Amino acid sequence: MIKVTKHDIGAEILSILTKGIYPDPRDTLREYVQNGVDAEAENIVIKIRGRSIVVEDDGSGMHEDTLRKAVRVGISDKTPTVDVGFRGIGIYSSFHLCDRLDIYTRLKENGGKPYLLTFDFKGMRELLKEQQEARTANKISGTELIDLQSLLSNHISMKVLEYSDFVKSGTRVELSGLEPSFFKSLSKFNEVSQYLQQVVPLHFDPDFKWRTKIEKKIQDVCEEYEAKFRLVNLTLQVNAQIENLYRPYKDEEFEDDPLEPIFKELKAQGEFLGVAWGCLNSARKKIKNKELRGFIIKKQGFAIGKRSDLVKYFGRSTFFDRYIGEIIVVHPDLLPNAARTDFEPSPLRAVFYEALSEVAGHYNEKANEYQEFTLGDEQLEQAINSLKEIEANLPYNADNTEQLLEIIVDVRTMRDQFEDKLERKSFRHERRKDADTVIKGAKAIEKEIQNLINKRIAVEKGRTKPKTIEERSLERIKNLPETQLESPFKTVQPQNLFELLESLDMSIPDYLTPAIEIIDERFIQAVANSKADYLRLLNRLGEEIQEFLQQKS
Amino acid sequence: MGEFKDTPSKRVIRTFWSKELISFLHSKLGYKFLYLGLPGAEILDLMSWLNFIERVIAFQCRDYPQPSSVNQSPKKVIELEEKLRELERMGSITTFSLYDGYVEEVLLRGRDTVGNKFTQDEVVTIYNLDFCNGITSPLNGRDDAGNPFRYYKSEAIRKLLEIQRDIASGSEKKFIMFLTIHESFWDEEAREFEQNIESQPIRGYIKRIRSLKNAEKNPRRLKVYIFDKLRSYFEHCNFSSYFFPAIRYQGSGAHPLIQFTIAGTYAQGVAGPPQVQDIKEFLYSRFLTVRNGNIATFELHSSMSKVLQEVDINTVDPKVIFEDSDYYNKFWKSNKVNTKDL
Repeated sequence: MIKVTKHDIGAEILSILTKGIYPDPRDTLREYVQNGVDAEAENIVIKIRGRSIVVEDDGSGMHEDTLRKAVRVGISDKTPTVDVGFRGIGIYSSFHLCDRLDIYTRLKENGGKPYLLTFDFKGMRELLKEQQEARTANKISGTELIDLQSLLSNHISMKVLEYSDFVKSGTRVELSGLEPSFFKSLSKFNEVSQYLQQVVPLHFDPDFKWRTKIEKKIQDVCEEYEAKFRLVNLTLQVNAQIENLYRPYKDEEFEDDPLEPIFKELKAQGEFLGVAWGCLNSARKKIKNKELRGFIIKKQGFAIGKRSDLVKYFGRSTFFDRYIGEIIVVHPDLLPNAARTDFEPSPLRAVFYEALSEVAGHYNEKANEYQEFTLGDEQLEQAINSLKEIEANLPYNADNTEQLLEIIVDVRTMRDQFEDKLERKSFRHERRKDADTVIKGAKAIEKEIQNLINKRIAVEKGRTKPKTIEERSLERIKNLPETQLESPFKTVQPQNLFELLESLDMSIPDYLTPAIEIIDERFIQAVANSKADYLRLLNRLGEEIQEFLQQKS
Repeated sequence: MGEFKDTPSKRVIRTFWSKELISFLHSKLGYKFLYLGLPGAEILDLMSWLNFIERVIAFQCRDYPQPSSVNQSPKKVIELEEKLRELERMGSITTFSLYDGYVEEVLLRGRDTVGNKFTQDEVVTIYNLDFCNGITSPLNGRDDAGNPFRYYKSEAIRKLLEIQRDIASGSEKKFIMFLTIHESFWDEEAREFEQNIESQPIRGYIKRIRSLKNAEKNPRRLKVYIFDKLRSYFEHCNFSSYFFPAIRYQGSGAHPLIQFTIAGTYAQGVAGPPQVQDIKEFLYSRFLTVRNGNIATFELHSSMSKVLQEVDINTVDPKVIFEDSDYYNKFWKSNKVNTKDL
C-alpha cells in the first residue's frame, strides 16, 4: 500500500471529467432536474434568459450538512437503487457552462433559514488555464500544479441567508455568466424542450389518448416491485416563452388514433427487470415523427441511450418504426453509466438485453399479427364484394364457357387463400366467421359454375349425337358459301366495341376508329365493374343495335 | 440625457403620477400586471410599483445613449439581470425576461444584441418606454431574412401594439403606456408628418404655435405629433386610446423631457375602435409639470396663454382625471374586478 495525498489528485481532473460526461449543454439541465426529482419535487421550473439559467424545484430542500456534502466530487449520500443521481458529479455539470453557480436551498420541513452555496467556476477555470499555460512554458513544475482539494476550497463558499433572501422552500440553482456560445444553443426553445421531453420523467401529454392507462400501469408495476418512479411537472421558460412540458407522445403522431398500448413485463432468470409499453400505429406505416419511432429505455423516468440504440433488438426497423414505446427499467441493480448512454457493464446488463430481445420479439409478433389482421380485414371486404358481383353476373356468363372457366379459377384461388389464412389464424377472432362465410360462398359459386360448365359440355357432347332433320338441314345451310348466310352457331364473343360492330357487319371507316375507341373506353368500359360485366354490356348493346336495325329495315 | 439616472422630478412623477395611476388600475382590474419596459439597472420604477407587478419583460442597453453593439460592455445588462433574479428569488415577481438592447432596436429587428428572439405571450398591462437615446430615426438594418428595413423609431410602438393585439387572451386587453421623449425629438419622421397633416384641428393647432419660441414650440409640436401618430397606431390595432395630460419635466443634466401617458382598451369588431376622446381636449389641455415636490399645472406667461388658449386642468390627480373622462366611463367603469389578487 502507498500513501496517497491530496497532491496526487490534480484539479484538472474536474475539467476532464465534466467535459467528457456532459458533452451537450442540455445535459446540465437534466442533471439539476434529476436532483429535484431525488428531492421529491412535484414542480420544477427551468428559466433560460439573459445570461443565466435557473432551475427551481419545490422539493425537500437541503439541510446545512447535505449542502456541505454537495461539493464532494464522486461521493454521494444518495442511494443508487432509489435515487436517480448518485455519482456525486452532477453538481459540477455546469463547470464549463457558466461563470458562477449559486445554489439556494431551504428545507421544506421545519422551514429554517435558507442557505447559499456558491461555486466560482470562472475562477477555477482561469486558474487551471493559467497553470496549464505556465506548465507548457516550463514556468512551473508538475508538482506545483494545484490539487483538486485546494481548487475547490478556494473557490467554493457557503453562507446562511435571511428568510427574505429566498422565500420559497426547495432548491434554486442559478447559473450565471453563461458562455455566449452555450447560451445560443440553449436559447432555442424547441431544441431544449425536445431534449427534456425525451430525458425527464414528465407526465404524459393531455392530448395522448392512453396517458392515464400507461401512467397507471407503470405506477402499479413500480409499486408492486417497490421501485421508485416519480413524474414531475416541468415548466420551461426561454426568454418570454413559457410552456409546461409533457412527454412528447400525442395522438397526432399516429395515422389515426393510436392502438391500445401493449404491455410486456421484462423478466429473466427469475428477476423482474421492468415493463415495456408500446402503441402501434393504426395504419401499416411508420410513426410520422422519426424522432419518436420505436422504443427508448427509461430508468426512474430518465432516458438511457437513444431510441435508435434499440433497433438491433427488434431485428429490423420495419415494426420498430411503427411503434411509440418505452422500456421502463425498475431493477435496482441495473445502473446507468454516468453519461446515461447505457447501463454499467454487469452480468445483469447482459441478462437485461437478452430479456429485451424477447420483448422485442413479442412486439414484432404483435405488429405482424396486426398487419395480418388489417390485411385480412381488407381482403375480406374485397372478397365479399367480388363474390357478390360474380354471382350477379353469372346468368350473363352462362353461355360463355371460357369466361366461366376464368371465373372458377379466380374463385378457387380466393378460397384456397382464405382457407390457408384461416388455418394460420390470420383473421382476427371476430372475423373468422366472415372468412368462413366467404369460403362457403366461394364453394357454392364454384359448384354453380361447375354445373353450368357441365351443361355446356353436355350441349357440346349432344352435338355428336345422330343428327336430327333440322340439324342436317342446318348443316346444309352451313355448307353454303359464306356470303350467303351467317352461321347460327357463330357464338364468338366480341371482346370490344370494335369487334361488336364488326360482328354486326357494320363497316367502320378509318376516321371513325378513334371515336369508337373513345366511346368504348369512356362510356362502356368506364361503367363496367368487371370484365364479365363489360362483355355483358357489349352483348346488350349488340342486341339493341340489332333490334334497331331490324325495326329500321 | 436620462441614462435612467434618478432625478427629483422623476421621483415625483414615479410616485405621485405613475404609481397612483397603476395602483388605481390594479384596484380596477384586480390582478397583478405584466410590465414591459426599461427598468434600468437601478430598477427604481419597478421597485416603486412592485406591489402591482407580477412579471417583467425588460430591455437594457449597454452604453446609453449609443446604439447597441456586441463590442460594448454588457455590465449594465448583467447588473439588471442580477437585480431581477433577486426580485424573483425574494418572491416579489414570478418571472422575467430580459433583452439586451433598446426597445426599438429589439422590436424592429426582432432580436436583441446577442441574437435572442423577442417573444411576448401574455398581455402587457404597463408599458414603460423611453425614446431619449441617440439612435437616429429612421433606423436602418436587416431583418432575419436579410432584407433591409428602414423604420421610424415610433414604429416600435406600432409593433408592440400589433403583438398585444395578436395575443390570444381570455382576459380583457387594457393597459397603460408611459412614454418619455426628449422635447427636441424632432427629426425626419416628425418633419414629414408636419408636411402631410390632413386633420383640420391639428393644422389649426400647428398654426397657432408657429409663432412661439422653440422652447415652447418644440414640446407642443412633439405633443401633437405623438398624439396623431400613436392614436393612429392604436386605431390600426383596434385599441381605443385615451391621452392623459402630458408632463414636462427636467431629466438628468437638465434635459427637457415629456412623459406621455396613454390608456388602451381593445375593441373587438370590424368597424374599428371607437375614439371617444376629443382631439382638442388633449391638444389644448395644459401641460403638467413638477413643482415643489408635487405634480402641478405648467405655468405660462399670460401673453402666451392668450395665443395658445390652453385649458386649465382642474386636478393633477391622475385617478380623478381618468374617472372624469368619457373614455373611462365607456370602457373601464363597469370593469369586473377579479378580487383574488387584491
